[in-house]
Amino acid sequence: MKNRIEGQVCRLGHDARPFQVMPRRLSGNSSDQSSGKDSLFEPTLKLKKGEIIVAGRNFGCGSNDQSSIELLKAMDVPCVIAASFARRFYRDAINAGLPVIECPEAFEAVSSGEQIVIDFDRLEIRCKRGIASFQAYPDVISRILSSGGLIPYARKAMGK
Amino acid sequence: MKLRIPRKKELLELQKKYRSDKKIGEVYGVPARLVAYWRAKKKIGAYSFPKYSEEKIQELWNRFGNDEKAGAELNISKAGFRQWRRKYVINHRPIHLSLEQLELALPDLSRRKGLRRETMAQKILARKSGLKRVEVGEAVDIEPDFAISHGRALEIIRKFQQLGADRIWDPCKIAIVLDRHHPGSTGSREPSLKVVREFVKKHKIRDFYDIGQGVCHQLIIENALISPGQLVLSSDPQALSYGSIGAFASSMTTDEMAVIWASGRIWLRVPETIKVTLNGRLSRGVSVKDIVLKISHGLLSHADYKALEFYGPAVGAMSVSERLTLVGAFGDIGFKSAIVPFDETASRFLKKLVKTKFNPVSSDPDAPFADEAEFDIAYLTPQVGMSTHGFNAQAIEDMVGRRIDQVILGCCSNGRIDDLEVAARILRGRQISRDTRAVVIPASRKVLLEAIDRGYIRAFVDAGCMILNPGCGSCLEAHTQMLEPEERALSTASWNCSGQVESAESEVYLASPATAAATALEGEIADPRKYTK
Repeated sequence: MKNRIEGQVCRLGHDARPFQVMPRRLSGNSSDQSSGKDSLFEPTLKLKKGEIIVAGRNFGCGSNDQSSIELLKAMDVPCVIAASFARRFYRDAINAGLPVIECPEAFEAVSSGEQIVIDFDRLEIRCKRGIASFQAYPDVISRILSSGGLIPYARKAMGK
Repeated sequence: MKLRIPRKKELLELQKKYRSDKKIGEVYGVPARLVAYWRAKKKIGAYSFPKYSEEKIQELWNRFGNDEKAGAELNISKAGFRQWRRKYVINHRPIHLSLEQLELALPDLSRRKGLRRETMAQKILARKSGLKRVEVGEAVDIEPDFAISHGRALEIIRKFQQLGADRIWDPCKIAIVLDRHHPGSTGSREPSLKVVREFVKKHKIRDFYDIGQGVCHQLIIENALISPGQLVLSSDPQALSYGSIGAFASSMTTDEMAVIWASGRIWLRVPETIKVTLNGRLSRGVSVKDIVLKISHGLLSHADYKALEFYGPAVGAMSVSERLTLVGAFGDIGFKSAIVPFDETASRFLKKLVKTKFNPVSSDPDAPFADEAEFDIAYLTPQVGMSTHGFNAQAIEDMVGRRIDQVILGCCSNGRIDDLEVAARILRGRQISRDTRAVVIPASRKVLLEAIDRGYIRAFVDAGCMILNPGCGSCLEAHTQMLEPEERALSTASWNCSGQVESAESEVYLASPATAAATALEGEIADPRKYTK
């Protein structure tokens, strides 16, 4: 995990659901995913490659598989910031090694298209309207993120 | 021996300690009148008690609220301070708590047993993580009591092999249930379930249930593989069902389940808990399913990462089967766990199945709930979950008359014997509409056998229903298979996977078994209350 992430913001509202991110029929088979990748965010969401997602309450609700995370990874999303996360999404993101930050202030302050900097050493998000701070990850989570996900972490723990 | 007159300082110290001349005299072995003479010589008056003003005592009492501490401030005993309070008639405890009192009071509270102020989630997670106490929001490493995986077992096995693990952490603590499938192969060229069956044999997994045995949570509860107070993790979307007997249950993805199989450990975040109280009694023709449809909409905006605990007279009156319906659906919305605390009903249910002793857990009376919600169910009418989003329920009155092509009765959340009984009572001696197809999916083989014995299956087949093999009926596969484009279904499943099934072309409504049976008879959404007189 990088200690500093910089990027443009794609801002979403409250209760953003995975099928808003990706229609289910495209996630049904893994073989379909690659073919539909370019059109996945149409028409509900226009996310460009490498953008940071900033969302409101309960981001990722209704998600019950890892396909939405795989998609975000395919779109090179470096980090997701939200006022709060649905449990399934939060776990999936951590387990896939995707940093997720709970920070309601950032959601209020940031607007779409602006450039922000996330500093994991100083636990703050710097944007145009100021600095929002967030909480440090609990011990287990930061270990998983630094190993790059749950599977590599478990392999390391088992000494493989 | 000539006695020297003690120094003034010496005398003052003794006077402070012993107060009376007689006692000072005893120290030197002289009579009291000699001590009085010495005092006169040294110009020391007779001892008099210090005087404390009423304001002083009142001020100290307000500050400390405790005789011992306030006394220590004046260098007098606890009893001494109380005497002064009595003198000025200061009896009431101070109204405002000051800092000193807080500092004194808090450690005492936490040390006393029974006043630890913890929710069930905190207690169970602390027990399983080996810590004394865990706080809300903390992430802890735990070992589950039981890990269950259903139709996705194949993916888990693949990931388990990727991990490089060669043996399972504890073959007695995992269960595999193939509930999503219909008999026969999936049509793809690669072997799928064959791999699972070989894996089960190789690793000697005791609790394996093949196709046709039933739906995952029903089998686990029926066979009492888990008990109250345990931590149960499952890769089944209805994982929260195990909360119906007072266990802490949560869902896992395939990656996480593979790690649990290999290492027996996984991380969990300690959730905040919402206390839900259900008051009142259900009226005729209304069932627990209607409560779920109604309240899940209200709770949706609070769903992120929290746990639910259910209380109230309506919950106390529910059977374990109804509790399964109640808690099972909340995982789909985003809740981490939903628990009905262990009580007499659950105890009676489990004692019929197993002889072992339970170790149930309950929340403390003043546990720190993040939120509290209360619902009165007395005036609830039958509800229909909307197709666009299953958590958006409408009263039956607004929905009556919509054409339905396929009725799905049973499966995950309402396929138990009491659900089939409700439906059979409505369908017995009647015929379903010619424009509608109806399938019945019992939750398990045991339920199917009992339904045959009680004659419900005959009633269903007589009425024109199809019977499928016990299992999930699988929201994902079966609904798409059962529906043609632009058709509508009404199902008793826990949720309609909107956005998963091609919702643009076909629609799935959710309702109770009674509503489903009434709808099958009329071929359009119908109010069950006219059939339950």
